[in-house]
Amino acid sequence: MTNAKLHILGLKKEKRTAWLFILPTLILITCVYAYPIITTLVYSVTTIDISTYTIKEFAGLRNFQYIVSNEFFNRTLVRTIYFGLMVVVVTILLAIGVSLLINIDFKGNKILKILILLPWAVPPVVSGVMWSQMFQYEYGFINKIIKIFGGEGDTIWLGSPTLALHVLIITEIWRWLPFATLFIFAALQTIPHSVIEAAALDGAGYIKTVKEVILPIIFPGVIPVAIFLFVSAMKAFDTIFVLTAGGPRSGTTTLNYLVYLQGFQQFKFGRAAATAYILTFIILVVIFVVFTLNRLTSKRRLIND
Amino acid sequence: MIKRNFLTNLTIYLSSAALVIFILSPLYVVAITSLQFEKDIRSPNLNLIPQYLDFRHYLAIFQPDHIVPVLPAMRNSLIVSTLAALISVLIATPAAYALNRMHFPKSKVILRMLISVYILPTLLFIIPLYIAWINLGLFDTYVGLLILYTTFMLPFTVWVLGSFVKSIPIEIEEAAKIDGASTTQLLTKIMIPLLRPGLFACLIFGFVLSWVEFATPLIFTSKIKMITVSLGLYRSTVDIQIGQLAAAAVIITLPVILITLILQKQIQQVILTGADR
Amino acid sequence: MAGDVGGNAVPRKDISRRKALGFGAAAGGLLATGGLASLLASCSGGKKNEIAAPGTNFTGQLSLLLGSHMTAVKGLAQKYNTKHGVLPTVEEITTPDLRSKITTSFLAKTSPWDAVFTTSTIAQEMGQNKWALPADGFLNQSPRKNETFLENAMAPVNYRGNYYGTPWSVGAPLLHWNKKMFEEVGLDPEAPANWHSTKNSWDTFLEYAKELTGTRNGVKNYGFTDAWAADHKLYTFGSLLQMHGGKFLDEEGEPIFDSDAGEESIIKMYDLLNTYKVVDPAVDTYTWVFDASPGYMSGNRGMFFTWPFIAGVAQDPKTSKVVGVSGVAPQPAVDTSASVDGSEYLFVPTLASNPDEGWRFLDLMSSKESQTAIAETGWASIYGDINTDPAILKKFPYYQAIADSYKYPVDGGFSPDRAVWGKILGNEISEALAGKKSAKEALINAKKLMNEERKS
Repeated sequence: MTNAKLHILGLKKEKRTAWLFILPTLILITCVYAYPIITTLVYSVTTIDISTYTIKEFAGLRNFQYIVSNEFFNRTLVRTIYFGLMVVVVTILLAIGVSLLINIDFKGNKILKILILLPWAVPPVVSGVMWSQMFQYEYGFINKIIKIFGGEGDTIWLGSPTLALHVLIITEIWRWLPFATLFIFAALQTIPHSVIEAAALDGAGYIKTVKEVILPIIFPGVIPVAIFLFVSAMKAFDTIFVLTAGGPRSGTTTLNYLVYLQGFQQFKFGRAAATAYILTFIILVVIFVVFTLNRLTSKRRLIND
Repeated sequence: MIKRNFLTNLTIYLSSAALVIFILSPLYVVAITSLQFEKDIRSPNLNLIPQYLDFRHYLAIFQPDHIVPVLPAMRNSLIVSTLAALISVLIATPAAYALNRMHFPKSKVILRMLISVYILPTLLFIIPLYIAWINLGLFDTYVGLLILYTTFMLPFTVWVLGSFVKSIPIEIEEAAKIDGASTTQLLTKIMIPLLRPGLFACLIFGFVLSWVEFATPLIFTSKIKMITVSLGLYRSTVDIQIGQLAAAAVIITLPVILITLILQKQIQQVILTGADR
Repeated sequence: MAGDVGGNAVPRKDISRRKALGFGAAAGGLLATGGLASLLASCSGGKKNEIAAPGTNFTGQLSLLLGSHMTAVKGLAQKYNTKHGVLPTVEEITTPDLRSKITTSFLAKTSPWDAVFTTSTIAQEMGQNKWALPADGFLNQSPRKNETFLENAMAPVNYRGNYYGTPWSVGAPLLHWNKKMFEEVGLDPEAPANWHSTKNSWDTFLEYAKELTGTRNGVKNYGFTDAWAADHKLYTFGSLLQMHGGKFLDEEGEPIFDSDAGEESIIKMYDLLNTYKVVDPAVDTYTWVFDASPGYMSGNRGMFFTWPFIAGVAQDPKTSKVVGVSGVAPQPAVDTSASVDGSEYLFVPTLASNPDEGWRFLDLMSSKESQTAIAETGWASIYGDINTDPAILKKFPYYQAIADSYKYPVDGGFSPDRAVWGKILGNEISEALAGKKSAKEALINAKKLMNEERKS
């Protein structure tokens, strides 16, 4: 056999082995992800009979029409996007701040690095219990602190839709801060330490350094973090379920939570499927927008340099 | 020695304090709630600095007929989370290697597909899965949950392991190939030992992610025997008093916090490696 | 008697159904649900909703799903064991979580339980979805044999002529008040006892609430507390609606709550909360009785609209600071007093594996002895003669109040889709209470959304 033939045989064998290696993953992904995604699309144009789980009738775009024409839906959509944006923006800003902080060499730096990981380990369900204690209106921690500082301290945080939504935003920020910080911190490591230390010497210069040197460098690294945060905010469910059950007055019902309500509380599976697709569409649109903006601005940055 | 001025130091320490308070206060609040008498909890007597510590809530939740079956729930979660993490890593490792190092058509496409699957909201696939699980008799079973947990983690695990695989210098592999190692041998005898920190980290991630899963058991189980740790907590208050709820929350969170604390270095390393992409 | 339980004989019907499921599961796999599901449907279709009397197929297993507050019924488990040699497994759930829990199971076409607790709100839904077996056969065989059986409490579980629940306790929200607080502000501590029979006593109720609200000993006290989150406010709204002569639904089940009576009712609730600020400001966040009760039990709330059994809880020194000073009476009146039936029931699920054991447990639960035992724990029984028994009345004088409250309207607009439209209406009323809409707008919008939902 010629060397070439042996080589080809070797390649063939390698291809076979490679497929073998990846087969279990592919099977699972196809069954648990691919098949359902397509089926959900089918369901979204039908009405499902829950006693037999058969398709009762093909409803065409009726599910979508119902959802979109509902005034309630528009509010939910706006609320969901606002929620996502707030979580992303505030978490990233905080994460940048924290990364810069722990990047500085000072006593207690190590402890901070460890502590910052904790929220990630807390089950979101437990979050619900924790934050309800924190924000309980009469004797909760937050109102107690406000009272100590001389305020009224009688806000019913979970009683108003707007306040409750912001409480939820805070819980999500708390939850994802570790992840965002670590990623941005890793991005920071690509900048030579001396540059940062030198700037830290001189108070006013530091902020300038941050703005003009550090931020532009880590910006590309921030993009995937932002997308991940947005997606996680869109996926938020557990804390909403336990803390507010979507209330008060649907004030914390995000699109994701709405899918659950429509499917498992109103038993309208077709409608739930349609809502799920609308949510997916929104996520994809946002990601597309972010990527495009990033490409456009990075081109501009390159030109400016 | 680079010295900082007083103002800078002050800012640093104040920010650190603020951060610590932000991170720790919810945990602190839940911890002290679990240690106060029930009648003090929703009353003016609840102090920020507890006057006493009482463990009766912890004793109560471990009683066998308590409404929140803490021990069975922990056992269920332990079994499912460990198995899910193990199986996920077992399946993902060859896949990560194949996708990143082996020559293979469409590997890029598959990689991209894996990542994109991760950004989709879980509820998108839940409904057909729910119906399928019922029809297959997987509803309310360990196996049913296991398949779901494992698959939900898979994209993430493959991605993380992939970046570890890429960080191993290709020369090592080439040397092994020259020595006549088959691909399987290459994988088991050489790659896996080198990937150990990554494998370990993925096991931990997998375990933690499964432990905290809530929506999946909520929808796919109903028997109390199948209850997992996070489901156990969603019962509202009363016969489970707030103090007991807090105690249950502490017990449920403690294992995961301990794991995170003990293994914080490994976790940090995973992110650092992954961020290099 | 223990010998009755003949081993683990599985009825024939179950075997054939399981086999069919097995075949179906193997064949269907991941394919679309069409053929497979219809196969399943035809198999389970064999069990028709006939109004037969329960059988005697005792399998030796019994599993119960009870409310976490149903300690009295839980206590019957041991009795069942002594009597029949079968020890039931008991699972508990809190009332707000009940519907999610059972629908998750029933949607998945399984029922781990043979007897399940239900409230008046969701009983008809269980009947309509064929998730509960009709109880007519059983009722005629057992509880109805007692002439003093409180048939009024059966109205909420009546769907198309069949009854889908067996009551274990009856009752509707009553007015509870803190006599000590009344005295402290110079009000007559016995006055509320007669409000139900006095026209327009609601105005007096409001005046009293204003007097009781204020800061005493450094603590803010409120004259009134309640639970108004989500659809729980419909108990009070419904009471007010009927106090004004209105109703939730007409004879055809169409919504008529957008009447003047409805508007007046919302206005009264609005006044309590915003105009006079006499009600606990977090009332819209309290999802059920146990969110609101700590406030009352701590002695900081003057009056409370809630379940009768709270009167019993108020006597427990471990959790209550109003021991011995809590009064109970039917709710105040406008044109008439009124309330909303909150009786609680148990039903046997259609998908239960051991339905006859389930019925047998209900039989135990409906027996004179068990109902007397239940009445002794502070929960009114389902038989009038037990509730008005002098010895029991002495210990629980508020059973008289419960009996009295049934003289007035207690309709809750119960229908199979009550859980869904209840939430819609609750939300709209919340909007009105928050000042975002007028009462009339809220009701009209609720009716519109409800009809849209029903048509879709």
